Amino acid sequence: MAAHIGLCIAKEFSDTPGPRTREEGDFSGEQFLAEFLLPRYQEALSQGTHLAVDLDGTEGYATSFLEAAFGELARKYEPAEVLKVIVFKSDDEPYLIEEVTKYITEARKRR
Amino acid sequence: MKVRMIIFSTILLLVTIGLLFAAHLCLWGLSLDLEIRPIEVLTLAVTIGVAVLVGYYFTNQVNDLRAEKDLLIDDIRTVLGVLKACRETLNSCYDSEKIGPKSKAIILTHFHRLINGIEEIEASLKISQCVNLSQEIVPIKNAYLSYKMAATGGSFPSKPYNRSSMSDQEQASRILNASLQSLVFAINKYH
Repeated sequence: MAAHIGLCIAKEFSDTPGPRTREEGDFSGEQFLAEFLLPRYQEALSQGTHLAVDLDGTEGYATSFLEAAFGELARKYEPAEVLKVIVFKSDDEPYLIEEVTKYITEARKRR
Repeated sequence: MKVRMIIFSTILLLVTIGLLFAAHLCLWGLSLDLEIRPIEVLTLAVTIGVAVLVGYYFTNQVNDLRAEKDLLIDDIRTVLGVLKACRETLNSCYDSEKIGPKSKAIILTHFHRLINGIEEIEASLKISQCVNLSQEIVPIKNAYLSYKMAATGGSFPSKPYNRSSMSDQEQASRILNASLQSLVFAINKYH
């Protein structure tokens, strides 16, 4: 397996992640999914590697943002596959990994 | 408790002195054998030694456990304080009918501090004598997540909270509060 692909949300996207949708405001989960998460995820899939998502360095994540980004990704792709490809890092708030994992595994029940 | 112990010890001492005095005066058919036998002195010394050591060991055990319990309960009190502050911020956002950028940051910070506090309690429980209670953290984390989802899900932070959302938040925060308090009670009862 090739070296993993990285994605640091605070450095590459925003240190103040916003609401759920683009209409609701800047730096939304929808925008993050379309511009960063989905392209990187597809790149990782095509290369057969992991996508390392760094959650540290932001002011915090609302459920609306995480659900719109990671939950929506798990509605486009199999949740089990998403969890195999994405590797999370969260030293500031370790429980965030468990939280995002829950949004991914329960994504299809929610919509 | 201490006063009772002192009263009991004093009564015991007075009865002993009384009996010795009665034996000295040969009252009620009592008498004193003043001959000292080494084996009996040794037995008495060993008995006293064992009693003192056992007492010392159990007192230390009880004191150590109490100190650990106090530390754990202090940590839970801190988390309960954060939960209260979080609830107040959410209520003020509901009252002002908006969630500004500053309020959004404060709310997210509250949730960040809440979960990190809960994880600290879990870590402390695991290294304490109350290690069996670390399973109690699972429902607390579930309650935390339900509360966070109620407060920062939906259209957060773009739309103000409505009555239904506030009701969900209230319910979730009450469950979290109750589960944290029941952990305090469980720690206090633990032995």
